[in-house]
Amino acid sequence: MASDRRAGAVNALTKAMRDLQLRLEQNVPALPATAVELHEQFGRVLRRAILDEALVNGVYDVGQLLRLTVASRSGDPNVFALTGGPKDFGRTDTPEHVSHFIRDDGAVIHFALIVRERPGAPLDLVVYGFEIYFPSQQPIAFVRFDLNDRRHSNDDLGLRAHLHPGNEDLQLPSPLMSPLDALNFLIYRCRPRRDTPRS
Amino acid sequence: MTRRERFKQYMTRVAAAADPALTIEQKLYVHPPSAISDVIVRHLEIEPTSRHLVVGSIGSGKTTQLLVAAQELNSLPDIRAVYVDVSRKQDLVKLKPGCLVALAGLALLEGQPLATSDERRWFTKWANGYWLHPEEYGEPDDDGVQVEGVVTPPRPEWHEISAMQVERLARFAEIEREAGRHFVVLFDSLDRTTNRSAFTQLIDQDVSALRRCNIGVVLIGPIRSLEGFGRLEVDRFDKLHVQGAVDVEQDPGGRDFLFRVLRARVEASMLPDREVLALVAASGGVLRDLISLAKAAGDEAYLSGSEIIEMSHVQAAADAFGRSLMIGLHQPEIDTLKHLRSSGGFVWTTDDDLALLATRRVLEYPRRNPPFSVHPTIVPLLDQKAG
Amino acid sequence: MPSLAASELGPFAFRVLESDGSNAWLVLVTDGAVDTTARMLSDEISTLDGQIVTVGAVSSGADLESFVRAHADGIAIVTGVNGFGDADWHRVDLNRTRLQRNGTTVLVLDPAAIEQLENRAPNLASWIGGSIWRLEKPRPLDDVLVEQRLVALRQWSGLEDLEVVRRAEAGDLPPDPAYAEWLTLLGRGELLGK
Repeated sequence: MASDRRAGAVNALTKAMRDLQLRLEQNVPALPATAVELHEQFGRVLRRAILDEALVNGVYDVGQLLRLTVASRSGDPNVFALTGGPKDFGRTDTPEHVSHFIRDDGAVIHFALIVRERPGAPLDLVVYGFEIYFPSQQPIAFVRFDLNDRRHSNDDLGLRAHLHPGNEDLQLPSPLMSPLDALNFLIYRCRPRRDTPRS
Repeated sequence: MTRRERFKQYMTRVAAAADPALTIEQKLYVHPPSAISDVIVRHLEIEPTSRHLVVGSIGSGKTTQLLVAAQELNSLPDIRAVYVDVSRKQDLVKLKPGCLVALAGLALLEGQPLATSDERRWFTKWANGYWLHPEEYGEPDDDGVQVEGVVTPPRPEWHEISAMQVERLARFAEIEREAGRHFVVLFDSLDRTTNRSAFTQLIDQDVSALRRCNIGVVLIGPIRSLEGFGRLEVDRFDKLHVQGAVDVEQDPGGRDFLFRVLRARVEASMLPDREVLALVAASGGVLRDLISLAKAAGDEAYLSGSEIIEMSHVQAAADAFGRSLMIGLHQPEIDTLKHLRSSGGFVWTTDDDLALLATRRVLEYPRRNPPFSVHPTIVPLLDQKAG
Repeated sequence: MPSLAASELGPFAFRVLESDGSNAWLVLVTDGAVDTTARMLSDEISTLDGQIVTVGAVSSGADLESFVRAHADGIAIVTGVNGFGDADWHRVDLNRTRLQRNGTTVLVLDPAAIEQLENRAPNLASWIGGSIWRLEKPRPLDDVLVEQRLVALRQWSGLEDLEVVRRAEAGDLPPDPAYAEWLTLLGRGELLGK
């Protein structure tokens, strides 16, 4: 029957996507052991970007916008949230450097990730969301790299790690990125090809 | 130019602790009204063997004035002037009579294209040996046998300095005069001396010996030279010059001078006039503090992501400066400062009072009455508790 | 007595970098381990700018003079002045010219030592000016910011906190990472991965 054929095709696709997800999760650089260390590393990336003038923010903005929750916040003393910039669903078209990380081309970057500390092991990456949006809407409204919680049904579709290409309802497979790589990518890359030096 | 490059350039032009010679070299120097260098040069031009004592608060520009004076003196056809930072060669902890004579002689000989002579060699050996172990260094072994005369000459004022070396120096200075130039030496860094007796001995003996050699002397001395027992030191000199803080509150000419000092280093597009005036006010008229505040304001602007230096950055710089001046103050000192703030009363009688002056918590404006004032950056902080 | 101006390590490293030039002096005051702080500062500066930073410990005023002579250029971070006595500060102040360097010097020390410096070494203090900072830790995500994020999450989803918790307990929460953050900020991190 057609429904049986479709179910078979979906099962095959599910397996293929799951295999894809496993491949996409390979060889991700290990995170540091503590959330504080990760916070320090993020700070350095952002300050380096300011020095490079890839971000137009002042150094004070890093301390203001990059925050780590205290251990008691989450209810689980090993779970921490690391946030960069506001929870910016609105995607303002008039961002200010005191409240947003702003790239030299006007694009805005914000992010949030949840990590879990484990004794004797690197941090476990629970979820992340790294977004860049363009107030000018060019070349695209936004791009966001998401990492879902492991348990979720989307996991079966191999889309635990995915990206949104300017549309909340559209998801494309993405490699699971090291958070620092994701941040560096949004700061230095993710630019129109005509502006990016060809290597 | 990128924002970072603009601020980098700004920072190099407001380096508060840079060698003052660099300021002159980079043409950032602004000549103050009634500059003591002008007064010193005028006097030495007429009396090249005169002795001048310069005193003033830390950071008031004494070294720069000495360097400028040396430059001006060297432009005169009949004077050769040398600036000497005593602390570069002499550990000021171990000040002893003879060190200024030795330094003057070495400086003098550097500029004398004489054929190598025994006199020159022995003096240099004595002077250079002085730094290693002055307490051990006796007369060099060229003196031959001294025969005691019938008449015992009076002990010279420089009784702890080798008379022979002083005479040698006198001859070197004479050679310089025969070549058409009076030798003048400008000594810096002795203002940091806190050992009263060591400094007094230096003045008593070295300055007298240099007078014997007909060498002109300009010397920066400690601020305590003005008070009490220290007045004896002043009397050893022909002229006293006080380099104090500029009275930015009551002297429009002084305020204008400091405005020009900053404007010579940075354009209005980076540091507008209003902010310059605020920095001038916050400095209390102390030159180095003005530059230091300007740099700190620049830091704040850069770290804030601003393109120019704004009033909020100046205020943050002044606040940090005031907090640094408050470090280590105890309640009696805070009470003294509060009293000065409210009544203008400050009587300089104890070592603690002197310390407040020496550390710039209290500023002195000689032409004002009363002359003392709390450093402007401290004033708003005096009532604050910790935290 | 008002407290010192405070700075996180990152901005302080910037101050050091941007000061690099003629004989700039900065002081970083810490209650914590001075050597660790010096090392962290060195790492921060090197990471930011690739500059080689000299880190040294001195035990006396004479030692500080020797260190300066040996390292006249570049950025230098100096520890050990916590142990300076009156004689050391006195010497350092008298012979201040001997401390002149072509680069930036950072003294890392404790609160007691900075008091000594200000009172016993006024000439050196004049070089430093207001460039004295108390090291402070980065600010955490505080209650105000947490609430701002929760407000944004509620507005975005149309849900309330209790509903989100209920769905998490039932295993029904949507997949977006925003919900994981929501649970974390509510203090229900134990529901993550349920």
